[in-house]
Formats: sequence, C-alpha cells, structure tokens
Amino acid sequence: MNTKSRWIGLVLVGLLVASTCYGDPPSARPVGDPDAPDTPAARPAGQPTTDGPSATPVGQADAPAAPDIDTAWTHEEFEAANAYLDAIQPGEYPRLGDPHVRQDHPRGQHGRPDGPDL
Amino acid sequence: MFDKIIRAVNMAVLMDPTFEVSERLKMGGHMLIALADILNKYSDAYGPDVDVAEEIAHLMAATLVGSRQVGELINEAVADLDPDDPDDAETLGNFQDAWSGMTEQMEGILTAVTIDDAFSIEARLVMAKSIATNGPIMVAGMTDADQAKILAQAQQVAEAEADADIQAAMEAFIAEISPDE
Repeated sequence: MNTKSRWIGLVLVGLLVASTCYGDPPSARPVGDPDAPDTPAARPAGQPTTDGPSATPVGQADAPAAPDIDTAWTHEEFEAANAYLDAIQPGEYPRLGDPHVRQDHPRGQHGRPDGPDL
Repeated sequence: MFDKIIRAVNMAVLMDPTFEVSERLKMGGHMLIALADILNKYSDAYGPDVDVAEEIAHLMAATLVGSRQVGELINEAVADLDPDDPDDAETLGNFQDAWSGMTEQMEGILTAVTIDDAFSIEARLVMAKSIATNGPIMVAGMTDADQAKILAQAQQVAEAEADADIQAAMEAFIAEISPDE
C-alpha cells in the first residue's frame, strides 16, 4: 500500500465533500489554532471536557492558515485543502504506543515518541 | 483515538432533538473533517518503518460510522425543507454534494477491502463489516447512478474475494442495496 493512494484520496475528498452538508466553510476553525474551540464531534456540546488533551485537535501555533474553502469546492480548492493538511507537522498524530490505539497486531514497533497523547 | 470520536455518546448527540438540526449538522461536518484530518496524518505516517495499516483500516471503518450518522441527520433535515425556497434549495444542493462525497468515500473503502498485500484479513473484515452495517443508509441517499456504481463495485469485490467472512459481509451489503425486484 502506498501512502496517498488513490483510494485514500477518494476517502479524504469524500469526507471533506460530505462535511459541507451544513453549509459553513470548514476553515472556520483552523486546525492548530490553540485558541480555537474544541471540535464539537470530539466533545459533545454542553459537556465539559473529560478526556484531557484528547478532546482537542492539536497543532502548532504557527501552523499555516487554513485555506479559504467555500461550500462549493472546486478541484483546485480540494488541492489547497490537501496541501493545508499536508503542511501540518509530524508529531501531531497520536502516539501509536498509546493505550487508546490498537497494539495487538504483530507488525513491529510503531509510534512517534514526541507525539501528543490524543 | 478515532473510536472515541465516533463513540456512541457523540453519535447520540448528533441525533439529540434538543439541539437544532442545523447545529447538529455542523457538528457532524466537523466530525467528518476531523476524521479526514486524522486519516491524512496516518497516511503520511505510513511507510517502510511505520506500518499503520491496521490503524488505517479501523479508521476507514470509523469514517463510515460518521458518514452514516451524518446521512441520518440529512434525512432528518430534509423533511423540513421547501425546495421552492431559495435558501432551502441551496441547502438541498449542499446535501446532494454530501451524498456525492459519501459515494467517493464508499468507493475508496471498497477498494481498500481488496488490498490484501497491505491489510490483514482481519483488517479487511473490519472494513467490510462496517460497509455492511453503515453503507446501506449512505447508499440510499445517493443518486441512482451512484447507487448503481457502488452496487457494481461491491459485486466485483464479493466475486473476487477468497475469504468467506469478507465475502459474506459484502454479500449482506449487496442484498441491502440491491433494487427491489
């Protein structure tokens, strides 16, 4: 399996297109903005955060600005969205040795020791 | 971690009528963006030294849970929309885009089920079962052409599959989405 295979691209684009169902630009909450509110899906509205840092997407304060993606996305805008996602620095995804992540497969040592605990 | 995003309590919030459906759609949209973001990062991480294929398979299965829930939300929201109202018509257009996105998502994951040189049988079965469980609601919202496309791809996957459990899951999915005679 190659990274960024066509099927992964399909799923990525599909998710992003499907996310436009509510009509607001998804760039309204830049990923990586430490002042941004929690992702609603990660923390149900009206409930306090109980999972520590895992409830908030993490990023870097100097992460690139999210592309201005309108509800009717063009191919170029999807490319911009992918470029934006690609620019997010390594270390932001979960440590694969984390107990939240499956470890029962025998494919060797995973993980990025500097990764945050999501 | 992605299992936490699509855990039952979050899915229940999306269907909680005490929140406006527009707000819940926004939550659902954010959830899908978060899943796409995580998938992108796992894809970047995957390589000779970091085999996260199993995680990616579980993430694929999780994205289907999220999309199915958004599909149910769309179905709920559509009932209150007037196609003759310009604002509502725009929203209906957004919904059609959403179903189109789910078609691409489904195509990608159906392809992933066939990749036996990277995914274990167990991982492919996780994806196939998620398709069988969550796929029918997604397919129901698609255009006739997209429904036919997904059905044809699912049939190809089932016919070529050697593993009995994966084949059974795909056949269950096919039975659910096949047009009534």
